[in-house]
Amino acid sequence: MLKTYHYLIGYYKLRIKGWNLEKLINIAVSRGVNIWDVQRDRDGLVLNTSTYSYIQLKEISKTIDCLLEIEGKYGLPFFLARLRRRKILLVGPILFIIIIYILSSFIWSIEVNGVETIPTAEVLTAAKEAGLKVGVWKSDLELRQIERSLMTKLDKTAWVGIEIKGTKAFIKIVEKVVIPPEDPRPSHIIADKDGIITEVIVLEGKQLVKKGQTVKKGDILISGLMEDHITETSEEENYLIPRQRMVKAKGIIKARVWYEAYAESPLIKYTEQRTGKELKITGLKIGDKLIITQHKKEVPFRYFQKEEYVKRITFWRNLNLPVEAIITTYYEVNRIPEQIERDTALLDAKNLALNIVREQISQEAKIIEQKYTEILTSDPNLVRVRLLVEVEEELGQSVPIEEQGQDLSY
Amino acid sequence: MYQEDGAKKVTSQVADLFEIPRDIVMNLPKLTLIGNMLMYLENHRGIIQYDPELIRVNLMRGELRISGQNLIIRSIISEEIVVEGRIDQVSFVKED
Repeated sequence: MLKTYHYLIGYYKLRIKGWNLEKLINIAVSRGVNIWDVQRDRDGLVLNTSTYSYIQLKEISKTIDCLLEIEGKYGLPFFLARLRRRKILLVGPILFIIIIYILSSFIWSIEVNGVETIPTAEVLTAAKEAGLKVGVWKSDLELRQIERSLMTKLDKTAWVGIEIKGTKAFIKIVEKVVIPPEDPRPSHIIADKDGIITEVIVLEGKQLVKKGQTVKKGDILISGLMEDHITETSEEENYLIPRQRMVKAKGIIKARVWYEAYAESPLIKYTEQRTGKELKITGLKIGDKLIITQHKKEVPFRYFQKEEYVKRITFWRNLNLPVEAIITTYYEVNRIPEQIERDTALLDAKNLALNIVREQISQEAKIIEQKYTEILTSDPNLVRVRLLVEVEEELGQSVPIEEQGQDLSY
Repeated sequence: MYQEDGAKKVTSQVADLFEIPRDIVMNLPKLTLIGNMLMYLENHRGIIQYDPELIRVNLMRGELRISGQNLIIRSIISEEIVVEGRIDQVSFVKED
């Protein structure tokens, strides 16, 4: 701090020759003259003093017959004075600032965010066509226009935003959620599972099942074949002619469906506890080759946990050196067995089985009843459970009439 | 060295009683050594002799001799001296 102050104010390096140099120091100190870095050699003293104290020091040196000599002038004021004389020196820093300024007004990298289905390369190509690419002059970019043209080029986007931070352009994309178009072909609604019908609401088509009826997978629930009676007027009289019409069947059909799942849970659980012993193995990966710098044939622990830590050297932005240090740490653990009560283990197994079922059923499905039975296993430390779940859920899937034959052949 | 003086003894005891640092009450020098390369000396009374191998500093009573190699006075103000260099020995010399 003091050094910075001295530098800003400017200071002299003085050489003092004479006899009673200690006296000079003492008088200077008592008068509050600022001196520092006092060194002694054969010729006398070398010391630093600030520019404003110099006159005082000169007066003191006269009274005790010392010779004062300025050896050097340091600090910002002298530096600036020298600079004024040598203007060429200024060109360097100015050029440096200009180059930095110019380089920072280009786009150096582009990042695409928010894309899920559109490939990033496609976005970048579209951006390139719109004028946003690496190496482009920042102030030439018409961001709103590029955004608009990106929107039209990539028809799956709902919104495009471009933001420039420093030399990096961020393209943020919000994708449209595309709802698959409804198949307009006439179709049946067909059961996709076995079950007992609990509710039938037909919106269009011909109802073929009733409430309480058992259906099998593949049965037609609502038919797309409608039999209409069309009045046809002929010359003599009106006829009622049955005529088949094909429609797209629509409706809601709910049914009770059974699911079955098996799961097991151990009666003895092991909890792992670290003992504090550990082994570190450092490896070096260059490109694809792995070099282990410290080698031990095997891990000396019976039970252990393994942790891998990869260190990469990044030297500029996203440029990575193809060198990685991989530090693998093995922690020794004690396995502590814990006896679990049979009921708890059974419940665990049941919950596992229930999760398996939950993955199969739709979210709207309602679980009506669940029953589980234990199944004997050969392993005494394992309980096995068979879970039967009764669920009320929507049944039925739209299948085009012409495809029906092939689709249901399974 | 100050204990012989009766008045000083009392001051010292008073300072002890009120837990006041003695260097303030009794105007004693305070030395701070950082290894053997840097020494701060507070409460001095001027320099008697200055050579690269020996610095003698006047104290309230007696003097302090700092001997070593390449001794530099890093800074000197009326309250404090900072000595840098290879300090070999620091000794108090009684004033006769």
